[in-house]
Amino acid sequence: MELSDLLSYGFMQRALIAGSLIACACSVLGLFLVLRRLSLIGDGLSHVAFGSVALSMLLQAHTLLVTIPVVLLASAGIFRLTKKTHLYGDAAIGIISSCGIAGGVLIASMAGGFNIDLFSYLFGNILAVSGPEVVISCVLCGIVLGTVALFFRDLFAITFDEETARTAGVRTEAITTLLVLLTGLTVVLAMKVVGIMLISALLIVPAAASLQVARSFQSSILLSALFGVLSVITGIVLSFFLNLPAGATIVLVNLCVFALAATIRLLKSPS
Amino acid sequence: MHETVLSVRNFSFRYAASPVLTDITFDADPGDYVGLVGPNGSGKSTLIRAVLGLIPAAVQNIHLFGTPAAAFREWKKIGYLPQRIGQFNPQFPATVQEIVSLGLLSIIKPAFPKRRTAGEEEAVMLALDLLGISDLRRKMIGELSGGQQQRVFIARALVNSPEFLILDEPTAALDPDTRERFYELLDSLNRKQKTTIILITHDIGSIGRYASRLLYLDKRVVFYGGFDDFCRSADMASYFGDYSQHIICHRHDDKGGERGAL
Repeated sequence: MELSDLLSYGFMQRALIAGSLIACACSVLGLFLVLRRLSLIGDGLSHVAFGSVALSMLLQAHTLLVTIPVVLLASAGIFRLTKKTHLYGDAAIGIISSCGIAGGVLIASMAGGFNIDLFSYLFGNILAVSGPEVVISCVLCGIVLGTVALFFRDLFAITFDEETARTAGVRTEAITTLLVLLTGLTVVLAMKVVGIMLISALLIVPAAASLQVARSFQSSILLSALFGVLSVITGIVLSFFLNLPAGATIVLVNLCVFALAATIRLLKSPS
Repeated sequence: MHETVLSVRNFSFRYAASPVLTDITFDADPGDYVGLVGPNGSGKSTLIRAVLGLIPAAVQNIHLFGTPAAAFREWKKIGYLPQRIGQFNPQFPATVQEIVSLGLLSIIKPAFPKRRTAGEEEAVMLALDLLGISDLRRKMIGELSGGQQQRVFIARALVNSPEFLILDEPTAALDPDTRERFYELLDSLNRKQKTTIILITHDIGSIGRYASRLLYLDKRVVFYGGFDDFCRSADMASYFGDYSQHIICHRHDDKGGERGAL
Protein backbone atom coordinates (compact mmCIF):
# COMPACT_ATOMS: atom_id res chain seq x y z
CA MET A 1 0.00 0.00 0.00
CA GLU A 2 1.22 3.47 -0.95
CA LEU A 3 1.25 6.47 1.38
CA SER A 4 -1.26 8.22 -0.90
CA ASP A 5 -3.66 5.28 -0.52
CA LEU A 6 -3.34 5.63 3.21
CA LEU A 7 -4.39 9.27 3.05
CA SER A 8 -7.53 8.36 1.10
CA TYR A 9 -9.01 6.70 4.19
CA GLY A 10 -11.35 8.99 6.09
CA PHE A 11 -10.32 7.62 9.49
CA MET A 12 -6.67 8.28 8.65
CA GLN A 13 -7.37 11.86 7.55
CA ARG A 14 -9.28 12.48 10.78
CA ALA A 15 -6.52 10.91 12.87
CA LEU A 16 -3.79 12.98 11.21
CA ILE A 17 -5.68 16.27 11.48
CA ALA A 18 -6.78 15.83 15.11
CA GLY A 19 -3.48 14.24 16.15
CA SER A 20 -1.36 17.03 14.64
CA LEU A 21 -3.40 19.81 16.21
CA ILE A 22 -3.44 18.17 19.62
CA ALA A 23 0.30 17.44 19.41
CA CYS A 24 0.93 21.09 18.55
CA ALA A 25 -1.07 22.31 21.58
CA CYS A 26 0.64 19.75 23.87
CA SER A 27 4.15 20.62 22.69
CA VAL A 28 3.69 24.38 23.01
CA LEU A 29 2.22 24.16 26.52
CA GLY A 30 4.75 21.47 27.41
CA LEU A 31 7.64 23.89 26.93
CA PHE A 32 6.25 26.28 29.55
CA LEU A 33 5.52 23.37 31.90
CA VAL A 34 8.99 21.82 31.54
CA LEU A 35 10.72 25.17 32.12
CA ARG A 36 8.54 25.88 35.16
CA ARG A 37 9.29 22.40 36.53
CA LEU A 38 5.65 21.38 36.27
CA SER A 39 6.38 18.52 33.87
CA LEU A 40 4.40 15.96 35.82
CA ILE A 41 1.19 17.98 35.85
CA GLY A 42 0.16 16.12 32.68
CA ASP A 43 0.58 12.80 34.47
CA GLY A 44 -1.47 13.98 37.44
CA LEU A 45 -4.26 15.42 35.33
CA SER A 46 -4.38 12.33 33.13
CA HIS A 47 -5.12 10.27 36.23
CA VAL A 48 -7.98 12.63 37.00
CA ALA A 49 -9.08 12.21 33.39
CA PHE A 50 -9.17 8.44 34.02
CA GLY A 51 -11.54 8.99 36.95
CA SER A 52 -13.74 11.31 34.93
CA VAL A 53 -13.92 8.91 31.96
CA ALA A 54 -15.10 6.21 34.40
CA LEU A 55 -17.64 8.71 35.77
CA SER A 56 -18.94 9.54 32.28
CA MET A 57 -19.43 5.82 31.65
CA LEU A 58 -21.29 5.40 34.92
CA LEU A 59 -23.49 8.40 34.07
CA GLN A 60 -23.74 7.30 30.42
CA ALA A 61 -22.87 10.88 29.43
CA HIS A 62 -20.61 12.08 26.60
CA THR A 63 -17.00 11.69 27.73
CA LEU A 64 -15.92 15.25 26.91
CA LEU A 65 -18.91 16.74 28.74
CA VAL A 66 -17.73 15.11 31.96
CA THR A 67 -13.95 15.06 31.57
CA ILE A 68 -13.45 18.71 30.54
CA PRO A 69 -15.09 20.28 33.64
CA VAL A 70 -13.65 17.66 36.03
CA VAL A 71 -10.08 18.01 34.71
CA LEU A 72 -10.32 21.81 34.64
CA LEU A 73 -11.48 21.76 38.26
CA ALA A 74 -8.56 19.47 39.15
CA SER A 75 -6.14 21.82 37.33
CA ALA A 76 -7.40 24.75 39.36
CA GLY A 77 -7.28 22.51 42.47
CA ILE A 78 -3.56 21.80 41.99
CA PHE A 79 -2.86 25.51 41.72
CA ARG A 80 -4.99 26.44 44.74
CA LEU A 81 -3.52 23.60 46.82
CA THR A 82 0.00 24.83 46.08
CA LYS A 83 -0.93 28.41 47.03
CA LYS A 84 -3.05 27.73 50.10
CA THR A 85 -1.08 24.93 51.74
CA HIS A 86 2.42 26.05 50.60
CA LEU A 87 2.95 22.56 49.18
CA TYR A 88 5.51 22.02 46.46
CA GLY A 89 3.89 21.60 43.04
CA ASP A 90 4.85 17.92 42.77
CA ALA A 91 3.17 17.11 46.12
CA ALA A 92 -0.04 18.90 45.06
CA ILE A 93 0.05 17.02 41.73
CA GLY A 94 0.55 13.75 43.64
CA ILE A 95 -2.48 14.40 45.87
CA ILE A 96 -4.84 15.32 43.01
CA SER A 97 -3.44 12.48 40.88
CA SER A 98 -4.08 9.79 43.50
CA CYS A 99 -7.60 11.16 44.08
CA GLY A 100 -8.23 10.74 40.34
CA ILE A 101 -6.96 7.15 40.18
CA ALA A 102 -8.69 6.05 43.40
CA GLY A 103 -11.94 7.70 42.33
CA GLY A 104 -11.67 6.19 38.86
CA VAL A 105 -11.12 2.63 40.13
CA LEU A 106 -14.06 2.93 42.55
CA ILE A 107 -16.37 4.38 39.91
CA ALA A 108 -15.25 1.83 37.30
CA SER A 109 -16.04 -1.03 39.70
CA MET A 110 -19.47 0.54 40.41
CA ALA A 111 -20.03 0.71 36.66
CA GLY A 112 -19.36 -3.03 36.31
CA GLY A 113 -15.59 -3.12 35.96
CA PHE A 114 -13.14 -2.11 33.24
CA ASN A 115 -14.59 -2.44 29.75
CA ILE A 116 -13.26 -1.98 26.24
CA ASP A 117 -14.21 1.72 26.14
CA LEU A 118 -12.22 2.46 29.28
CA PHE A 119 -9.21 0.58 27.88
CA SER A 120 -9.39 2.63 24.68
CA TYR A 121 -8.98 5.77 26.81
CA LEU A 122 -6.17 4.22 28.84
CA PHE A 123 -4.07 3.39 25.79
CA GLY A 124 -5.49 5.77 23.15
CA ASN A 125 -7.26 5.11 19.89
CA ILE A 126 -6.62 8.00 17.55
CA LEU A 127 -7.65 5.95 14.51
CA ALA A 128 -11.18 5.74 15.93
CA VAL A 129 -11.66 9.49 16.28
CA SER A 130 -15.00 10.61 14.82
CA GLY A 131 -15.83 13.59 12.58
CA PRO A 132 -17.47 15.63 15.38
CA GLU A 133 -14.52 14.84 17.65
CA VAL A 134 -12.15 16.27 15.02
CA VAL A 135 -14.21 19.47 14.91
CA ILE A 136 -14.25 19.75 18.73
CA SER A 137 -10.49 19.08 18.82
CA CYS A 138 -9.84 21.76 16.18
CA VAL A 139 -11.89 24.35 18.07
CA LEU A 140 -10.33 23.56 21.45
CA CYS A 141 -6.78 23.46 20.06
CA GLY A 142 -7.49 26.79 18.37
CA ILE A 143 -8.53 28.20 21.75
CA VAL A 144 -5.38 26.84 23.43
CA LEU A 145 -2.95 28.05 20.74
CA GLY A 146 -4.74 31.40 20.36
CA THR A 147 -4.59 32.04 24.09
CA VAL A 148 -0.88 31.17 24.20
CA ALA A 149 -0.27 33.57 21.28
CA LEU A 150 -2.23 36.33 23.01
CA PHE A 151 -0.37 35.98 26.30
CA PHE A 152 2.95 34.81 24.86
CA ARG A 153 5.10 37.55 26.38
CA ASP A 154 3.43 37.27 29.78
CA LEU A 155 3.94 33.50 29.73
CA PHE A 156 7.56 33.96 28.68
CA ALA A 157 8.13 36.51 31.46
CA ILE A 158 6.69 34.41 34.29
CA THR A 159 8.46 31.31 33.00
CA PHE A 160 11.82 33.06 33.14
CA ASP A 161 11.41 34.96 36.40
CA GLU A 162 8.04 35.29 38.11
CA GLU A 163 9.08 38.00 40.57
CA THR A 164 10.45 40.44 38.01
CA ALA A 165 7.46 39.71 35.78
CA ARG A 166 5.20 40.97 38.58
CA THR A 167 7.11 44.22 38.77
CA ALA A 168 6.59 44.62 35.02
CA GLY A 169 2.84 44.53 35.62
CA VAL A 170 2.21 40.88 34.65
CA ARG A 171 -0.67 39.36 36.62
CA THR A 172 1.36 36.30 37.46
CA GLU A 173 -1.32 34.34 39.35
CA ALA A 174 -3.86 34.84 36.58
CA ILE A 175 -1.36 33.80 33.91
CA THR A 176 -0.29 30.72 35.88
CA THR A 177 -3.94 29.75 36.40
CA LEU A 178 -4.50 30.19 32.67
CA LEU A 179 -1.52 27.95 31.87
CA VAL A 180 -2.76 25.22 34.21
CA LEU A 181 -6.33 25.38 32.85
CA LEU A 182 -5.09 25.21 29.25
CA THR A 183 -3.02 22.19 30.24
CA GLY A 184 -6.14 20.53 31.69
CA LEU A 185 -8.02 21.13 28.44
CA THR A 186 -5.14 19.77 26.37
CA VAL A 187 -4.82 16.66 28.54
CA VAL A 188 -8.47 15.82 27.86
CA LEU A 189 -7.89 16.19 24.13
CA ALA A 190 -4.69 14.13 24.21
CA MET A 191 -6.44 11.13 25.79
CA LYS A 192 -7.61 10.03 22.35
CA VAL A 193 -4.17 10.36 20.78
CA VAL A 194 -1.84 8.45 23.08
CA GLY A 195 -4.10 7.38 25.93
CA ILE A 196 -4.21 8.37 29.58
CA MET A 197 -1.10 6.35 30.38
CA LEU A 198 1.14 8.23 27.96
CA ILE A 199 -0.20 11.81 27.91
CA SER A 200 2.73 13.28 29.80
CA ALA A 201 5.07 12.04 27.05
CA LEU A 202 3.23 14.21 24.52
CA LEU A 203 3.64 17.21 26.85
CA ILE A 204 7.23 16.66 27.98
CA VAL A 205 9.25 14.89 25.27
CA PRO A 206 8.92 17.36 22.32
CA ALA A 207 9.70 20.25 24.69
CA ALA A 208 12.70 18.39 26.14
CA ALA A 209 13.94 17.65 22.60
CA SER A 210 13.61 21.28 21.53
CA LEU A 211 15.59 22.42 24.57
CA GLN A 212 18.53 20.34 23.30
CA VAL A 213 18.91 22.31 20.09
CA ALA A 214 17.00 25.63 20.30
CA ARG A 215 18.94 28.90 20.10
CA SER A 216 16.22 31.25 21.37
CA PHE A 217 12.90 31.12 23.19
CA GLN A 218 10.88 31.62 20.02
CA SER A 219 12.79 28.88 18.21
CA SER A 220 12.32 26.52 21.15
CA ILE A 221 8.53 26.99 20.92
CA LEU A 222 8.54 26.41 17.16
CA LEU A 223 10.83 23.38 17.39
CA SER A 224 8.78 21.86 20.19
CA ALA A 225 5.61 22.17 18.09
CA LEU A 226 7.43 20.80 15.03
CA PHE A 227 8.81 17.78 16.92
CA GLY A 228 5.40 17.04 18.46
CA VAL A 229 3.51 17.19 15.17
CA LEU A 230 6.21 15.24 13.30
CA SER A 231 6.15 12.48 15.93
CA VAL A 232 2.38 12.12 15.82
CA ILE A 233 2.24 11.98 12.00
CA THR A 234 5.15 9.51 11.80
CA GLY A 235 3.76 7.46 14.67
CA ILE A 236 0.30 7.17 13.12
CA VAL A 237 1.68 6.18 9.70
CA LEU A 238 4.15 3.66 11.17
CA SER A 239 1.51 2.13 13.40
CA PHE A 240 -0.73 1.61 10.38
CA PHE A 241 1.91 -0.05 8.22
CA LEU A 242 3.47 -2.12 11.01
CA ASN A 243 0.15 -2.95 12.69
CA LEU A 244 1.26 -1.47 16.03
CA PRO A 245 -0.76 0.42 18.66
CA ALA A 246 -0.79 4.09 17.55
CA GLY A 247 -0.36 5.69 21.02
CA ALA A 248 2.72 3.71 21.97
CA THR A 249 4.25 4.15 18.50
CA ILE A 250 3.80 7.94 18.69
CA VAL A 251 5.53 8.05 22.07
CA LEU A 252 8.42 5.88 20.84
CA VAL A 253 8.90 8.13 17.79
CA ASN A 254 8.90 11.10 20.18
CA LEU A 255 11.64 9.43 22.21
CA CYS A 256 13.68 8.80 19.04
CA VAL A 257 13.41 12.51 18.17
CA PHE A 258 14.59 13.38 21.67
CA ALA A 259 17.53 10.95 21.38
CA LEU A 260 18.48 12.50 18.03
CA ALA A 261 18.28 16.05 19.42
CA ALA A 262 20.33 15.09 22.48
CA THR A 263 22.96 13.47 20.21
CA ILE A 264 23.16 16.63 18.07
CA ARG A 265 23.69 18.69 21.21
CA LEU A 266 26.41 16.34 22.44
CA LEU A 267 28.20 16.44 19.09
CA LYS A 268 28.04 20.26 18.98
CA SER A 269 29.19 20.82 22.56
CA PRO A 270 32.89 21.74 22.77
CA SER A 271 33.93 19.22 25.44
CA MET B 1 5.00 70.73 43.88
CA HIS B 2 6.89 67.52 43.10
CA GLU B 3 5.46 64.12 43.92
CA THR B 4 7.34 61.90 46.38
CA VAL B 5 8.53 58.80 44.52
CA LEU B 6 8.46 56.51 47.53
CA SER B 7 6.95 57.10 50.92
CA VAL B 8 7.22 54.54 53.71
CA ARG B 9 5.55 55.37 57.03
CA ASN B 10 5.83 53.36 60.24
CA PHE B 11 6.10 50.15 58.24
CA SER B 12 6.70 46.92 60.19
CA PHE B 13 6.91 43.36 58.96
CA ARG B 14 7.47 39.99 60.62
CA TYR B 15 7.92 36.41 59.40
CA ALA B 16 5.87 34.26 61.81
CA ALA B 17 6.99 35.45 65.24
CA SER B 18 10.26 37.04 64.14
CA PRO B 19 10.24 40.79 63.51
CA VAL B 20 12.12 41.55 60.29
CA LEU B 21 11.45 45.27 60.00
CA THR B 22 10.19 47.59 62.71
CA ASP B 23 8.69 51.03 62.32
CA ILE B 24 10.43 51.94 59.06
CA THR B 25 9.86 55.51 57.91
CA PHE B 26 11.59 57.27 55.02
CA ASP B 27 10.86 59.11 51.75
CA ALA B 28 12.63 59.15 48.41
CA ASP B 29 12.05 62.29 46.34
CA PRO B 30 12.55 62.66 42.58
CA GLY B 31 16.26 62.62 41.78
CA ASP B 32 17.32 61.09 45.07
CA TYR B 33 20.08 58.49 44.95
CA VAL B 34 19.66 56.42 48.08
CA GLY B 35 22.32 53.98 49.18
CA LEU B 36 20.60 51.26 51.21
CA VAL B 37 23.15 49.47 53.39
CA GLY B 38 23.15 47.21 56.40
CA PRO B 39 24.44 43.85 57.57
CA ASN B 40 23.20 40.50 56.20
CA GLY B 41 19.71 39.77 57.46
CA SER B 42 19.01 43.43 58.25
CA GLY B 43 15.86 43.43 56.09
CA LYS B 44 17.12 45.38 53.05
CA SER B 45 15.75 43.02 50.39
CA THR B 46 12.58 42.41 52.40
CA LEU B 47 11.94 46.16 52.51
CA ILE B 48 12.37 46.47 48.74
CA ARG B 49 10.18 43.42 48.07
CA ALA B 50 7.50 44.90 50.32
CA VAL B 51 7.70 48.23 48.47
CA LEU B 52 7.17 46.39 45.16
CA GLY B 53 4.23 44.36 46.48
CA LEU B 54 6.15 41.09 46.22
CA ILE B 55 5.28 40.19 49.80
CA PRO B 56 1.50 39.82 49.92
CA ALA B 57 -0.36 41.84 52.55
CA ALA B 58 2.78 43.72 53.53
CA VAL B 59 2.17 46.97 51.70
CA GLN B 60 0.32 49.02 54.28
CA ASN B 61 1.75 52.52 54.82
CA ILE B 62 3.75 52.39 51.57
CA HIS B 63 3.05 54.77 48.66
CA LEU B 64 4.66 54.74 45.21
CA PHE B 65 4.33 57.99 43.24
CA GLY B 66 1.55 59.04 45.61
CA THR B 67 -0.45 55.82 45.09
CA PRO B 68 -0.86 53.17 47.81
CA ALA B 69 1.49 50.34 46.82
CA ALA B 70 -1.39 47.81 46.73
CA ALA B 71 -3.13 49.88 44.05
CA PHE B 72 0.00 50.89 42.12
CA ARG B 73 -0.15 49.87 38.44
CA GLU B 74 2.26 52.24 36.68
CA TRP B 75 5.01 49.66 36.46
CA LYS B 76 6.55 51.39 33.45
CA LYS B 77 7.92 53.95 35.90
CA ILE B 78 9.94 51.30 37.73
CA GLY B 79 13.02 49.29 36.85
CA TYR B 80 13.93 46.49 39.26
CA LEU B 81 16.90 44.18 39.54
CA PRO B 82 16.32 41.50 42.19
CA GLN B 83 19.12 39.94 44.19
CA ARG B 84 17.98 36.37 43.49
CA ILE B 85 18.38 36.63 39.73
CA GLY B 86 21.51 34.51 39.93
CA GLN B 87 19.30 31.54 40.78
CA PHE B 88 17.67 31.43 37.33
CA ASN B 89 17.79 28.26 35.26
CA PRO B 90 21.07 28.45 33.27
CA GLN B 91 19.59 26.12 30.63
CA PHE B 92 16.75 28.55 29.91
CA PRO B 93 16.51 28.84 26.10
CA ALA B 94 16.49 32.61 25.65
CA THR B 95 18.83 35.06 23.96
CA VAL B 96 20.19 38.19 25.59
CA GLN B 97 17.96 40.28 23.32
CA GLU B 98 14.84 38.33 24.37
CA ILE B 99 15.67 38.71 28.07
CA VAL B 100 16.29 42.46 27.83
CA SER B 101 13.07 42.97 25.86
CA LEU B 102 11.15 41.52 28.83
CA GLY B 103 11.86 44.83 30.55
CA LEU B 104 9.56 46.48 28.00
CA LEU B 105 6.53 44.40 29.04
CA SER B 106 5.16 47.20 31.20
CA ILE B 107 4.95 49.59 28.25
CA ILE B 108 3.87 47.22 25.48
CA LYS B 109 0.31 45.91 25.36
CA PRO B 110 -1.26 43.81 24.02
CA ALA B 111 1.28 41.05 24.19
CA PHE B 112 0.97 39.36 20.80
CA PRO B 113 4.11 37.51 19.73
CA LYS B 114 4.50 39.80 16.76
CA ARG B 115 7.95 40.86 15.66
CA ARG B 116 9.47 43.47 17.89
CA THR B 117 8.76 47.00 16.65
CA ALA B 118 11.57 49.33 15.55
CA GLY B 119 11.08 51.33 18.76
CA GLU B 120 11.48 48.20 20.88
CA GLU B 121 14.56 47.10 18.96
CA GLU B 122 16.05 50.54 19.42
CA ALA B 123 15.33 50.59 23.17
CA VAL B 124 16.87 47.13 23.59
CA MET B 125 19.95 48.05 21.57
CA LEU B 126 20.37 51.28 23.55
CA ALA B 127 20.24 49.39 26.86
CA LEU B 128 22.71 46.79 25.57
CA ASP B 129 25.05 49.56 24.38
CA LEU B 130 24.84 51.31 27.76
CA LEU B 131 26.06 48.13 29.42
CA GLY B 132 28.63 47.41 26.69
CA ILE B 133 27.11 44.06 25.72
CA SER B 134 25.52 44.73 22.31
CA ASP B 135 27.86 42.13 20.76
CA LEU B 136 26.28 39.48 23.00
CA ARG B 137 22.68 40.10 21.93
CA ARG B 138 22.23 36.84 20.03
CA LYS B 139 23.99 34.71 22.64
CA MET B 140 22.02 32.38 24.89
CA ILE B 141 21.83 33.71 28.44
CA GLY B 142 23.20 30.43 29.86
CA GLU B 143 26.37 30.71 27.75
CA LEU B 144 27.49 33.93 29.45
CA SER B 145 29.69 34.42 32.49
CA GLY B 146 28.13 35.53 35.78
CA GLY B 147 29.26 39.12 35.26
CA GLN B 148 27.90 39.23 31.70
CA GLN B 149 24.58 37.79 32.87
CA GLN B 150 24.36 40.45 35.56
CA ARG B 151 24.90 43.16 32.91
CA VAL B 152 22.06 41.64 30.87
CA PHE B 153 19.73 41.83 33.87
CA ILE B 154 20.80 45.41 34.58
CA ALA B 155 20.04 46.23 30.91
CA ARG B 156 16.59 44.68 31.38
CA ALA B 157 15.98 46.94 34.40
CA LEU B 158 17.05 50.01 32.40
CA VAL B 159 15.44 49.29 29.02
CA ASN B 160 12.12 51.06 29.75
CA SER B 161 13.94 54.23 30.91
CA PRO B 162 12.37 54.03 34.38
CA GLU B 163 11.86 57.05 36.60
CA PHE B 164 12.60 54.93 39.66
CA LEU B 165 15.35 52.33 39.62
CA ILE B 166 15.65 49.75 42.40
CA LEU B 167 18.78 47.61 42.33
CA ASP B 168 19.47 44.86 44.84
CA GLU B 169 23.22 44.16 44.99
CA PRO B 170 23.77 44.74 41.27
CA THR B 171 27.56 44.75 41.37
CA ALA B 172 28.12 41.49 43.23
CA ALA B 173 29.26 39.58 40.10
CA LEU B 174 31.01 42.45 38.31
CA ASP B 175 34.76 42.89 37.96
CA PRO B 176 36.21 46.15 39.39
CA ASP B 177 36.41 47.99 36.04
CA THR B 178 32.85 47.08 35.03
CA ARG B 179 31.66 47.92 38.53
CA GLU B 180 33.17 51.38 38.33
CA ARG B 181 31.67 52.00 34.87
CA PHE B 182 28.33 50.82 36.18
CA TYR B 183 28.44 53.27 39.08
CA GLU B 184 29.30 56.03 36.63
CA LEU B 185 26.32 55.01 34.47
CA LEU B 186 23.99 55.20 37.48
CA ASP B 187 25.50 58.55 38.40
CA SER B 188 24.85 59.84 34.89
CA LEU B 189 21.23 58.58 34.88
CA ASN B 190 20.70 60.23 38.24
CA ARG B 191 22.21 63.55 37.23
CA LYS B 192 21.06 63.90 33.61
CA GLN B 193 17.68 62.12 33.63
CA LYS B 194 16.88 62.74 37.30
CA THR B 195 16.28 59.01 37.75
CA THR B 196 15.51 58.21 41.38
CA ILE B 197 17.69 55.33 42.52
CA ILE B 198 17.68 52.97 45.48
CA LEU B 199 20.83 50.90 45.47
CA ILE B 200 21.28 48.04 47.93
CA THR B 201 24.93 47.19 48.33
CA HIS B 202 27.67 46.19 50.73
CA ASP B 203 30.08 48.38 48.77
CA ILE B 204 29.93 51.26 51.25
CA GLY B 205 32.89 53.03 49.70
CA SER B 206 31.07 53.49 46.39
CA ILE B 207 27.87 54.48 48.15
CA GLY B 208 29.77 57.26 49.85
CA ARG B 209 31.13 58.36 46.51
CA TYR B 210 27.98 58.40 44.41
CA ALA B 211 24.76 58.33 46.47
CA SER B 212 23.09 61.49 47.74
CA ARG B 213 21.44 59.88 50.76
CA LEU B 214 22.25 56.98 53.01
CA LEU B 215 19.70 54.61 54.53
CA TYR B 216 21.32 52.33 57.07
CA LEU B 217 18.99 49.51 58.03
CA ASP B 218 19.31 46.95 60.79
CA LYS B 219 15.73 45.74 61.17
CA ARG B 220 14.98 49.40 61.90
CA VAL B 221 16.25 52.64 60.41
CA VAL B 222 19.59 53.31 62.10
CA PHE B 223 20.28 56.34 59.92
CA TYR B 224 18.56 58.08 57.03
CA GLY B 225 19.77 61.36 55.65
CA GLY B 226 22.50 63.14 53.77
CA PHE B 227 26.18 62.37 54.05
CA ASP B 228 27.09 65.60 55.82
CA ASP B 229 24.78 64.70 58.69
CA PHE B 230 26.10 61.15 58.71
CA CYS B 231 29.74 62.15 58.69
CA ARG B 232 29.31 64.72 61.46
CA SER B 233 27.27 62.46 63.67
CA ALA B 234 29.04 61.29 66.80
CA ASP B 235 26.22 58.74 67.26
CA MET B 236 27.04 57.17 63.90
CA ALA B 237 30.75 57.15 64.69
CA SER B 238 30.07 55.23 67.86
CA TYR B 239 27.57 52.93 66.06
CA PHE B 240 29.73 52.06 63.07
CA GLY B 241 33.16 52.64 64.49
CA ASP B 242 35.44 55.30 63.15
CA TYR B 243 36.80 53.09 60.37
CA SER B 244 33.52 52.39 58.51
CA GLN B 245 32.37 55.94 58.92
CA HIS B 246 35.71 57.11 57.56
CA ILE B 247 35.44 54.89 54.45
CA ILE B 248 32.03 56.29 53.55
CA CYS B 249 32.91 59.89 54.39
CA HIS B 250 36.36 59.85 52.79
CA ARG B 251 34.98 58.57 49.45
CA HIS B 252 32.16 61.06 49.70
CA ASP B 253 34.63 63.88 50.20
CA ASP B 254 36.42 62.74 46.99
CA LYS B 255 33.23 63.35 45.03
CA GLY B 256 31.97 66.20 47.13
CA GLY B 257 33.29 68.95 44.91
CA GLU B 258 31.31 67.66 41.93
CA ARG B 259 28.08 66.83 43.73
CA GLY B 260 27.87 69.84 45.97
CA ALA B 261 26.89 69.93 49.59
CA LEU B 262 24.06 67.71 50.74
